Amino acid sequence: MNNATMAATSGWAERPLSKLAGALCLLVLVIGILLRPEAGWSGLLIGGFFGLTLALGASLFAAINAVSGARWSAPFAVVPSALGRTLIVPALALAVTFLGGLSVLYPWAQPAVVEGSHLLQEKTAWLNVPFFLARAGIILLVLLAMTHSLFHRPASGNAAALPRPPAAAVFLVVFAVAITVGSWDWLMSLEPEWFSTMYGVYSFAGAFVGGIAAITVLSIRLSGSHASPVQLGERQLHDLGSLLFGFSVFWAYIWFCQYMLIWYANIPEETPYYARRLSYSWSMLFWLNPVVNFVVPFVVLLSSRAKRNPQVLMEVAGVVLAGRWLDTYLMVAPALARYPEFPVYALAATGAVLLGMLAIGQRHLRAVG
Amino acid sequence: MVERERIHSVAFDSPEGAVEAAHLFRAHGLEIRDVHTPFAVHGMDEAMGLRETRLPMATLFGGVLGCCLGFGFQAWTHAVDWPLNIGGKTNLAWPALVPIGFEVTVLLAALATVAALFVRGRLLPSLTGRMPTTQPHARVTDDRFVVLVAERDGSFSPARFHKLCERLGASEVLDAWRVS
Repeated sequence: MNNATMAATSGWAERPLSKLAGALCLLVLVIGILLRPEAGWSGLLIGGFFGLTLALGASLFAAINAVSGARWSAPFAVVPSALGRTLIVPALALAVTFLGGLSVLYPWAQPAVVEGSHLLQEKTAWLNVPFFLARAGIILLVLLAMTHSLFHRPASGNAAALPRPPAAAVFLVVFAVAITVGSWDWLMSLEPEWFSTMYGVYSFAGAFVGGIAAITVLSIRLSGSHASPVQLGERQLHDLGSLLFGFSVFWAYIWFCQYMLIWYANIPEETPYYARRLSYSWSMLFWLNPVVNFVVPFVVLLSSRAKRNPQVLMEVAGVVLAGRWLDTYLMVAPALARYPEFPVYALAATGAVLLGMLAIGQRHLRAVG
Repeated sequence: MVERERIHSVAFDSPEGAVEAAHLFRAHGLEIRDVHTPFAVHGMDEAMGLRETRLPMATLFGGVLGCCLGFGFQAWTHAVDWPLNIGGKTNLAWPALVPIGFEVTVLLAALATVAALFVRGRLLPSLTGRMPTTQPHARVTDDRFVVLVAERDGSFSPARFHKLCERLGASEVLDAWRVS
């Protein structure tokens, strides 16, 4: 391992300042959970799910490349693999959320609420505490085992190699089921009387865009020096830009489909989800969501020159990452709060999760360099 | 009298081989007429020395036109020509216009792209084609990557050319002709 790689891959999570920031985030989060359980636990849920979508999106990217025999992504394959292996951090955050905050966050876990709702009584076969915890445990453990088998390399092996195609193919199937059931359980059941059959694909679209955006930002940041294990040519930039462009359009397509069908039909059992998000100042955030997640990447990345410019591409991917967080926030927070407030605890939880992921990701990158 | 131009069809087994050959042929002062491959090969445009494509402008033009027509026509029918009360929504309820507006955008963008292909590729019946008059290599739709090299002037040396092809690992070198 040489100095240039050190400079490229270390520095972030290991600086005392980052450790201090991580500790501060955790402290704020714990205070939030103790003083205002709803805001605190929902913050951890937002941070955990956001981190989970980034790690899973990156794993999905690696798995698709492995299954299709792609070679174009090999020069930066270490990035999705390092990001995929950080799954342990958001998985832990979600596990803590479910073990500690279940009855605070989910109305179906509050006996008084279930007693007053015929709909929820009908749903208890699926939405009950032991079954929910068992599902969450199985999903998170299987995902951790899968990403480990995808990205683990014996010390002597070529660490930068893509995952083996059979393991990657199995992961694709497991991922599809996990993100669908996971998003029903962990996010959609925050408003248990409401449902959308598009929720799973909506979460998938968001996770994949998030993974691509995170890979893009990290790859561009790490590809500075010749000694770095990450090398981006013009074609890699162009293809990453095309993927970011394409899947942000796909996300917008799904976002609009879900909205339009419910808007058009205007059925009382479906509209509360959007009614809540279009009330008070939530509506500003609601309309900001498609702007940062779709309009910005669409307009900027329409030209291929912008896709090949690392600075522009990195900035757009950064905007999309912020948009991914906003989208996750809007899937969770309006279910628990009538008015939006400055999301201190959600940001603190996200900071703690991301810093933890960065620390683990850097350890894996260093093993490669 | 119709003039005929001599073209050599050089086949390769791999896309990388064809890209490298296209680079080297040009470096040796040979002219590349076309390259036939089973799929789009990354880096071939640069290797052939093609100018940056302006095809996206045709696509963008079709897309913008389709977007305007799609939304405009629906807005006119819904709000101006035949207003109807649909579910109590306003006559110009924009979400209702999006699916068709989107589809017409994609449709005209795609049609404009194909139209540009026909015009620029001289594939219209009235235009002289760019293809060689002999049949293209039968396996370019399967696993062969064929570079078509033109004899530009008197300085062309068949012996040197065949040696170069051999050095590049060409699997076949055939003659083709083109009416110029």
